[in-house]
Amino acid sequence: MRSRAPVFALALFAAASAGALAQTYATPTAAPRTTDPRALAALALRRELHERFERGLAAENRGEWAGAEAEFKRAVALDPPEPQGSTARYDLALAEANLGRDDAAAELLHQALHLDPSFAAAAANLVAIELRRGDLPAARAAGDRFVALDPQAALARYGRGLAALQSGDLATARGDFGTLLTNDPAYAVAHYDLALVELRAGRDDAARAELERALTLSPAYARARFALGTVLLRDGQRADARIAFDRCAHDAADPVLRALAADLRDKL
Amino acid sequence: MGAELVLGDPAALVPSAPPALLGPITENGRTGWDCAPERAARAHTAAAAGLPGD
Repeated sequence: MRSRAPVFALALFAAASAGALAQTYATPTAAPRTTDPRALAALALRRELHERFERGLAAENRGEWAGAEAEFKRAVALDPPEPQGSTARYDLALAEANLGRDDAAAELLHQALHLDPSFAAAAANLVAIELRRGDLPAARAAGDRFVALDPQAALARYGRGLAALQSGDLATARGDFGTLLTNDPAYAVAHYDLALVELRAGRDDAARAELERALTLSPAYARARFALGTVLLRDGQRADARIAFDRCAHDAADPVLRALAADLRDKL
Repeated sequence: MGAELVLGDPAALVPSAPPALLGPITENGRTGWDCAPERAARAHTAAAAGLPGD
């Protein structure tokens, strides 16, 4: 019987060569050309949008917020599809916020979230802006939305926790700071905020425990040291309170807090 | 904020600072591995989220 091996090998070689040829690009593919007015308009829009984003981001990185605002306003006016539509509004909101126009920034972030409901960075900045301008109901609503979007996000729990604490919803605030601490037990600031929740709930012992945890993690945390001093003083521990206020007066970078701590220390 | 007020009313103690704003995003949008603001927004720890230190 004659061997078929040479024929088989030749067939394999031919197949391999054809495969290699198929992967070879001897000449670059010609750029697509069109004379269709709609296609040309779409190309022009994409080019302008790209340029507006490039210029706007460069301006934001330089802190030139007015320049960034102009570029992103034009990008929004071009009414681009997603993801550029929500992104242009997000970037414009950042410029507006840095120009002190928090109302405009909040409205733009609402629009961005309408276009892309899963846009977590937009949800985070909306909470931050509402907290910054002191609109607690709006901050709470934005926080609720962010927590629903990503319940484990540290920014979501922190932002909504602050809104809830400041508006007196202690149960929600306790839950949010508690979740934040479950994920990140070494975050001293959340222990401090949780202590404020417990203080407002009249649970001084729980507050003191949280403040001591915060200060174990961050011994120079002046605001927590001050709060601990007030708890100790209310509990009649004047000597310990005096030590806490004295330490706070040394550690505090904030001149108001430093003066307040020194005042309380000197009265004891 | 006076000393007497702070001692008499725990609500006079100031909570921590609001979170800082997350930074700009390129025209590629929030999806993808290199969108730092979106990653920070979804981070589970304070440091990765850029939360305030005091």
